[in-house]
Amino acid sequence: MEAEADHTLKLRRALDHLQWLSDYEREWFRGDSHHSVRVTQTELDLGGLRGPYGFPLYQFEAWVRAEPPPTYPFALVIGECLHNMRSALDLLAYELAVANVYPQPVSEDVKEASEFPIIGDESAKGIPGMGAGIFRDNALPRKIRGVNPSAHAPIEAVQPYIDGTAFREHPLWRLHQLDRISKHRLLHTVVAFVEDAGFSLTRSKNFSGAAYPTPYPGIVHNERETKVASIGGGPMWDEEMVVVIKPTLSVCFAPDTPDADTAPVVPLLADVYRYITDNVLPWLEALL
Amino acid sequence: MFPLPLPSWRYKVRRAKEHLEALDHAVKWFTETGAYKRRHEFQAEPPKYLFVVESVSPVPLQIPLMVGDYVGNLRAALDHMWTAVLDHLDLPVTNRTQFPIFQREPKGKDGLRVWSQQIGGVPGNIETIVKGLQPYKRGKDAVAHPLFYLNELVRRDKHRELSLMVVRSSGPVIDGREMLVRPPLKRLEPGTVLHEIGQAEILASGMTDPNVAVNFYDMPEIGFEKPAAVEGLEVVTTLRLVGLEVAKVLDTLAPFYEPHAPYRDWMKKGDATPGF
Repeated sequence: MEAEADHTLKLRRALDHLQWLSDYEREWFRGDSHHSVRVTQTELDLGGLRGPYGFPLYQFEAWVRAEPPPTYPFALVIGECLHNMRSALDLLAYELAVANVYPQPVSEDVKEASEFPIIGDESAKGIPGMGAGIFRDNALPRKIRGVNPSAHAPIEAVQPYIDGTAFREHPLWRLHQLDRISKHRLLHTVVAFVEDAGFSLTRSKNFSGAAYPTPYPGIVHNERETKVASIGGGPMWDEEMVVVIKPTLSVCFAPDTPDADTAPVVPLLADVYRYITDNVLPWLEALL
Repeated sequence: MFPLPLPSWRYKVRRAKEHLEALDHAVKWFTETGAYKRRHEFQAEPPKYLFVVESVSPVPLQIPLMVGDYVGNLRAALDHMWTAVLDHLDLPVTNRTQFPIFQREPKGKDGLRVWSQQIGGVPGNIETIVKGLQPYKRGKDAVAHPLFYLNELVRRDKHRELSLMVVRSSGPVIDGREMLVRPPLKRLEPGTVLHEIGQAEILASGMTDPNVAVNFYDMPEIGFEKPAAVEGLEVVTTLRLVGLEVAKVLDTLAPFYEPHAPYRDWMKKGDATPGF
């Protein structure tokens, strides 16, 4: 059996962490232990206009309180997931350098400088349009100088600066930034976020109205209720009316997180993972 | 960013401890369930017992990954703490800021530049404390300093290979008594002679009958194969030492990063002695 490459193992570890985060998020918001939904009902004053069954029309609003998943261990696992993905790329760059000189050993200076470059389109002083120059002057002669020149183009093709001013939304840039922060500065704090809202057909009774609630995506807090969705309608017959709105809760990076402000955690990390497996590995593993 | 109930490095250390516990279990499981197979031979001339390795199982791939997460969290704890120190002093935090770990005393233009970039212009008295924690303070033994191990493990894990091997360290057992001398850690490969027990050893154990029962007490362990800094060292014990050293650094510098520390004014002046 062929041994798996180090970068593959690191990616697998990242995937384990990602799966854990996804499961934990789902469990956290399952049931109502960590969040509550209250639906208010207000009769609409439509100047005598009534619903299709002759009953008054109402506006239903869903208000949510939610605890974010605890920093420990959620934020820690985010950091480890990021770090393992970043390490996988660095290991890949090193493996390319090893393959390039095999069976000779890699020189010490190539070893020391080896790193998978992730370059945005700004200089350290914030001057835009500098990415290509930084790649040429920094990455090529230093970080990936030990790799075969045929790998230069595939590595350049996945650089965030290729996206120009939109480089901050590039999956690898987000990986680079978020990992750097988690490693050296701060833990990534997370908040509960409502992305969407649905209407429970099985638990609602005697309701006729809009098919879907209108969601108000945003952060929800534990200290105060936040309106997350609304739906209009009225009863079909003269009995108690029950309207159950089900918000879709997820975990997002806290506001002001650089380049991931309120971005949902699991989809963002999954996006980075997929980008690496779909856009980086196929081109570069062929050179190993 | 939202404030956290505890400083972030405490979470990192706690997480590292969890990894170490999981690692300890994984290592025990592996070593106690057949890390290697051996055979027992008797050689007639000169008479001696030989214990020889037949086969060695590869170290489970999960174990080096756990090591990577463990050392990553410890290194991050130091850097988070150091960022907090600079924040409390209203000093700028840059991309190069990190808790310095130097094997050699920073000298020359380049060495001093890297040191000052990492340490970030803290007052001289704090810098003195940080220097006192550096591996290079141990002179030629700097390479056996747990912070040096940490640095090497993080670098190797992130950029290059981190590999482990099966080693053993126990001594022979003669008539139920374990010999006190523990041989050095030894890499196990098929054909490795684990131990030879001759008549002299049997007699040295206090037994007068050279035909006494001789056995070999198995205690395989997992050791580092790479990086060179920790080659041959037993994994869990080494990592525990690294964790204790990180805790020592965090404790030593606690007065400088704890919120509301009474030393804040003193830190800014930088000319007095801290009260600890």
